[in-house]
Amino acid sequence: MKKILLVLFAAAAFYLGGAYRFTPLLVFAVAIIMLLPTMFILSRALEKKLSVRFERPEYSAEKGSEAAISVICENGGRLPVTRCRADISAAYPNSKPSKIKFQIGADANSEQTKELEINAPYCGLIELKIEKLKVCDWLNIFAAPKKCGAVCRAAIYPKEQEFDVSLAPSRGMSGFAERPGLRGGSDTEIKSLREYEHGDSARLIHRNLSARTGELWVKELEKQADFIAELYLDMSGADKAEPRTMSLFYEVLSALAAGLLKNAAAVRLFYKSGEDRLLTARSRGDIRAALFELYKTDPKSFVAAEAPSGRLMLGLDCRLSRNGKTVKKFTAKDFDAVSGVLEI
Amino acid sequence: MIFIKHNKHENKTEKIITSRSERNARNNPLFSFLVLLCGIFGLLLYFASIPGVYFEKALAFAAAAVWCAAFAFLFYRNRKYFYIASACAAALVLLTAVFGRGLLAAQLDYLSDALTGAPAAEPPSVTLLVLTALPVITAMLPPLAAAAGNIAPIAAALLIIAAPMLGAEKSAPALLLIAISAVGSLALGAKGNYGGREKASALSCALLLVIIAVSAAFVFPSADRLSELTNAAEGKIFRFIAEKTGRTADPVQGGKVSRFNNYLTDREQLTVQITRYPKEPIYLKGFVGGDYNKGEWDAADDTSILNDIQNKYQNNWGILGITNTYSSLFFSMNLNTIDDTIPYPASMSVRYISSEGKNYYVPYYSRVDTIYVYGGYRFQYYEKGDMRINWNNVPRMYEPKRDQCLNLRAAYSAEAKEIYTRVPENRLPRLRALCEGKDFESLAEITDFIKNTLDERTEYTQTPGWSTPGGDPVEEFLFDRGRGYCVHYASAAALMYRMFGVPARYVTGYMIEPSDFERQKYGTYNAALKDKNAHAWVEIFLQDYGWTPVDMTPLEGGEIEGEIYPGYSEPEKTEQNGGINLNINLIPKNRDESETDIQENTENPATAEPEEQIRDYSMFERTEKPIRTAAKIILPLALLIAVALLATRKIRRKRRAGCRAEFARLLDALSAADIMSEYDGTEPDFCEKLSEALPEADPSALRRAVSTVMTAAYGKNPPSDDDSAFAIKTCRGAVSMIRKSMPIYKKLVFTFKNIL
Repeated sequence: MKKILLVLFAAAAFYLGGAYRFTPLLVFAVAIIMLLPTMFILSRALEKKLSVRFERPEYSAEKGSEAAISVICENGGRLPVTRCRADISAAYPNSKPSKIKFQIGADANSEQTKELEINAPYCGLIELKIEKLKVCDWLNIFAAPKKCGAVCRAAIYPKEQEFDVSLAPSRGMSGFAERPGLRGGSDTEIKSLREYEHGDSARLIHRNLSARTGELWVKELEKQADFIAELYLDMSGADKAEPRTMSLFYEVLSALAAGLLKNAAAVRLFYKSGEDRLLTARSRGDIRAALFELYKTDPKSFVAAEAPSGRLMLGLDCRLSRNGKTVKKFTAKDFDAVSGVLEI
Repeated sequence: MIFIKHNKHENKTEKIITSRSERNARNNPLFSFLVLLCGIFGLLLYFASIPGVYFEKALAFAAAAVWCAAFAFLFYRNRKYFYIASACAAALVLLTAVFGRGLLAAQLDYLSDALTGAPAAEPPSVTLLVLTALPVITAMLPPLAAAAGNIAPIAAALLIIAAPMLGAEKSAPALLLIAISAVGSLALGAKGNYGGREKASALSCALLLVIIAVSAAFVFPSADRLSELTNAAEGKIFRFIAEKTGRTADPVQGGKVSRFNNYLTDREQLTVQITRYPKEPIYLKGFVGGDYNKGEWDAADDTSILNDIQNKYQNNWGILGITNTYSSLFFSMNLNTIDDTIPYPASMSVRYISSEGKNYYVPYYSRVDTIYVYGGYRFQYYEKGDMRINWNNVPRMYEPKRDQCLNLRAAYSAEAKEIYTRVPENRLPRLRALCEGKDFESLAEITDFIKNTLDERTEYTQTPGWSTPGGDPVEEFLFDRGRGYCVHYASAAALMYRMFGVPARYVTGYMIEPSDFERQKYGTYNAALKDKNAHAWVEIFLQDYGWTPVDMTPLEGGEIEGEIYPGYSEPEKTEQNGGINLNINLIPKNRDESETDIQENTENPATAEPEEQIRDYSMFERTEKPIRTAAKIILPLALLIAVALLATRKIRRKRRAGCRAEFARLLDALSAADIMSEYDGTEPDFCEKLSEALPEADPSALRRAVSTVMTAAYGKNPPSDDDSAFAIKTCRGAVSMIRKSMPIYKKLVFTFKNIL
């Protein structure tokens, strides 16, 4: 638009200058005609010494919270770059990438950092790519294109939530955890008592004590140190699943694993991606690491896993099943409200 | 689907990936001040270069520097104080306007004269006006430059282009400063908080200066060639359009003194048939000018003069009446003069081809023979060389008619001296100065002076370039451009004759050279008149000829040729005037005197000083002009301010309404696109339906946005800033999607509805 306006201005100035025989206007017309190629060359010259990249190759953020991605503009030239437009695309797997135009610049021989904020609605891996760079001249008339291709990934993790998982005494640990590692017994020992906190399971409320004191007290159970929970994941069809579906799956997996970790020393996640794979999580950090592994795995490589008899299986549809029977079908609402204890 | 967008100003948005909000780096006040100062100084110089605009430059420049420094510093350092200072400046301006309204009105009046092309010879100062306007302009510039970086360059471009139209011939330094300021502010206008903008701005200005220097080195030696290039292009376009449309303007354009180039076509306009091959060029009058004003001649009104004469003398003018008697007076006298050397009058018929009969073309010394024959009319006429009127040698039976004609001539001559010597001298100060103080004793001396003036000062060309719209084309022709064609020569000569008290009229019509005629089968001679035959000349009133053409237009590149008028001879030779008794008053007339009696005029030459004349004329229009000028300036300004206020109010309301306003716009968009027009947004399935209607939109985002809007509208507590911003952006995104799906006319209706 600016180019067209300038050309129109030059044409009008030339015409009026000639018509009125007003030499200064003719000078301006010619000056603008000369200014255009000058600015074109300038934009090309500025482009040669400029590079834009992400500060780190990987970033992580929690769903719903903000995180920053630093974009660095490095100008190795002697002339300042005041306007550089970067086309940045971001995409979840299986989703259409969206793009933003991002303006950045840097003084001569300097580096400038500008930050992008991530506030992603879904869990998963977002791939950010600087697809195109356009380095403008000082008057923003011409923009010299420059290939960039800088890439970074942002892993979006679920919020730190956990399902209140209860190991049903009647069932014991059978079908849930590995028998050899189990200490056996249906009851866990009370390690201590403490005041109720928001989010504590109602099942852990020490009813007698609470009744006596008039305040809510909860039992802190002794963790079963050698108790390892197993969970089989059926992620077949991940290559076609929408980000929203995958996000819910990851959230359920994360919350379930976190819930299980309260009762077990570790959680083992089995899935098939070309071959049988196993991820073990002993802490929340491990859960995130496991999720990151899942994020990174090529969605097309997932195949249907078969859980041994009595083992729990979590599918992409968020259905937790055992021996083909649904134990629980998770939905997004399970995260919004206290949904009671999950008896496994 | 991920929404990622770049948001520059909001801290938090709904966007999944946004640029982290940052303030644009504040410009260095000193550099910004310099850029603004360039602009303000440029504006002042520009203003000063408009003819007729005069103010105390030192004072104005000093005031501009002070205001500019104050406003630039405050704007870039402390906005709050900037607004306070702006309010103070506005109050100051208001006080000045209230207490100095009389002076300001008068200065506005002078300014209006200057801008509309009627500058006074000695322009009065408009310093107070300039000083009053300065704080307003300087206060407006920094926010304008910061808010919309492109406004300053566009305004600068418009000013630069308008310079020749305003006659700002000496505005080159002003234009340079304005251009530097525009380029500087454009380079400074880059968003973001990174450095280097001042450096880029300074380098841009330097680059511009270098480029202008190189351009000037190229353009100045070849300015004429470049101008000719534009003229050639303009001419080609003109002819191309004429050829393609088959429409050409009547080359005889009435009394308007052209401000443009003259491009000729080969289109035939008239056919003239005569019975005798002419010995001299034949002039066909089409338009005759009376009073001259602002580059235009009013049509001469001989009928009212003749009616006045009829009323005064109560003569019996016979069946022809006074008008017809007068129109053929000199022809009839020549016809009835007993002189064997006078040939029988020739006959001429004029027929229209494409000039659509707008003008009625009459040869000199003629009598209408037949009207409307074969789509034209016929005259009997004499050539100038055949006019040998002898008032004393007519047949006895014609003597009463002769006496009547003599009376009519005397009466008309007296009236002509009164009416056709009027000149708006105050609007032609330079021409007045040129003619002032010349002591000529004869018509020949006057003619010689005019001829020499035109020879020395001007050059004939069909492409003299355009004149400034407000300026006087005759003064520009004589004193500025020095180039013109027949209309300019004729107008200048007519005005100069009038300045010396010689009755003269501007005439446009056709001039036919003898060589234009071709002999026909039956002994007649035909000439097809084209644009090139269209011409303008002066006619002066000679006692034995009546109105006689005086052609002051030289040949291209040559001098004025020809006999000029019968009896003209070089001034050093014996003054004979061809037996003409001019009885002219050679002292310049003034406008007021023209109202008085001719005799009184002769006895009491103009005594009023030129300054007084100007003042008198100014007084004549002063009561109306300030109002008109104020209306011209204040009304658009007020309109602009009103629009700006309304826009600001709308934006503020929108901001206050927050996401609800955007949601309402979304509903409007849906309604405009005939999508879900039955929904009002409160329905439970609104989001689902909207998601179906807009498959590109993220349903969860829409749900969140709608929920936020509902909270904003009906909730106990307002939604969080995050949610509100999210809702606004989502609604905007949805509106944009809906707009894309609309047909153009609906899009336009929706857009304009929103604007209104």
